[in-house]
Amino acid sequence: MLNNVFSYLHKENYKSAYLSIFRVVLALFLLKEIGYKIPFVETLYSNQSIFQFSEHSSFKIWGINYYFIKQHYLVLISCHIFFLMLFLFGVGKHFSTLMVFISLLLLQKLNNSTLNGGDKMARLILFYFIFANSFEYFCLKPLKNKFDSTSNLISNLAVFSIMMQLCIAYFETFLNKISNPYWVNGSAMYYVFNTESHLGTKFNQTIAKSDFVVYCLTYFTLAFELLFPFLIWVKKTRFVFIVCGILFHLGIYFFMMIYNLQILFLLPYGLFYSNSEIKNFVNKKLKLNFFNV
Amino acid sequence: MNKLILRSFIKYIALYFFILFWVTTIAMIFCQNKIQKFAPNIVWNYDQLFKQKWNFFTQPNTYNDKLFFILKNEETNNITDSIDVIKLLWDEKKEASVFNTNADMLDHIIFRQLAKIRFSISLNQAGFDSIKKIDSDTLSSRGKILAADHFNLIAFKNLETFGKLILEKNGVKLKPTTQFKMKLYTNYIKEFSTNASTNKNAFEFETAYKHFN
Repeated sequence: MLNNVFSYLHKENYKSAYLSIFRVVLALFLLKEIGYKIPFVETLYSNQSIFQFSEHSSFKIWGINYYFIKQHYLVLISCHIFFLMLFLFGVGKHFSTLMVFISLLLLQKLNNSTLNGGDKMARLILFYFIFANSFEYFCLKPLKNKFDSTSNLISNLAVFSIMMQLCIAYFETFLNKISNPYWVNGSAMYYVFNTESHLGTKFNQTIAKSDFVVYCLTYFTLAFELLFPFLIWVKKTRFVFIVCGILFHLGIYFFMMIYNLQILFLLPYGLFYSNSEIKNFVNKKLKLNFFNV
Repeated sequence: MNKLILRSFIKYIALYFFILFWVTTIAMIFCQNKIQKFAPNIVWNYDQLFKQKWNFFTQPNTYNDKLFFILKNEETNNITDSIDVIKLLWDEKKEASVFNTNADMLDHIIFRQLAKIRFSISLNQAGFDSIKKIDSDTLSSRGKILAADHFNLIAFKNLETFGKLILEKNGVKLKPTTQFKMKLYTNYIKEFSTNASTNKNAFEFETAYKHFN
């Protein structure tokens, strides 16, 4: 049994094509995130911030001087950008991924006041990426034609972890929601659409006026979060759930103005497709000819 | 030969850590409270790197916050302005949507400060002097008054900074003689599927007047 598992995991890096795309998009996304924060970095990370933030307990436990890091926050941000560039071009491979993870972790701990689920997802995905072999394509020095069974095994386990992570996030959200009366009685989306901090469009409150739409959206959300973790693994239902997921996250993106989280939840969707499916899609449907089929 | 043994060893170690990680993660998600009781250190250490709490809108907001900055001229004692600074921030967030990183970050920061103040109020640590009766048409008739010399909670200082920032951004001129007080209302969203025409307000707290720092 264990030997069968091993021989399957050794055989090849089953998601090498999408992992490479994922790496590039993730790096660009994280660069965009830090780029957008640039005008705000002094407020967020500096000792001279107009706001007062309390020290995260991790620093004391890890023996890192919080105030020293705050004093040199620009160095930390520069390192983060530098390692992100290496990660983007696949230079330094697993080491640069580890460094991106560490710099992101430090930035998140330095000020956790503005973090949301997307930041949490980014941290976890980067952690799994340390072990994933995403360097077969779109690298300055790709790892092509180099069969390494141990690397395949570790990479496949890392990919499986990202997929599991996504499913667990949906499923835990579902479990938390069904213990809340507003979700059970179908009215939750009415309150969500009337939350002023998330009025992404002028139609939000109009939508909330229709009881039918509110019930549909509330129960669609619950059904999606319950069923996705199970049916996404089934080939026949996979496409339906990918489409539902894209609609679900685009809805949150535009109607509720929560941006980074949606992208980080949509990115792992491609991992549910095989190498050949991804290569065919990119080469034949998108006509980009990035991969040799 | 040695290389083969080493590779085989690495594979078993990788699989072992993979299983250990996921067993721990699933245990942390589904029985964290139980683990917290007998092994709080494990929970704490795990949370530093892998904290998993996924609850998007699990508790939908049934209200919107309204934080008024009431400005008065110290010399004349006249109220010169009463501005809901959170509303101004949300308007900015909407107008700049997709490119609203700054407004969104401020929103997160302020949300945290209000949560901290609410927590302090629940523990009675915020230095509130008295309970005040207010208008009977509001949902809650009790609010809390904060004395100026208790203005030392970091969350209040951050709210003051935030208010000043928003007021100045919106063209409000703050003179040396300008004093302010903050007043927080909870503006309840009218209940789903009812014909109630107006939203209800609950007064939460009010500070004493003071100068901007």
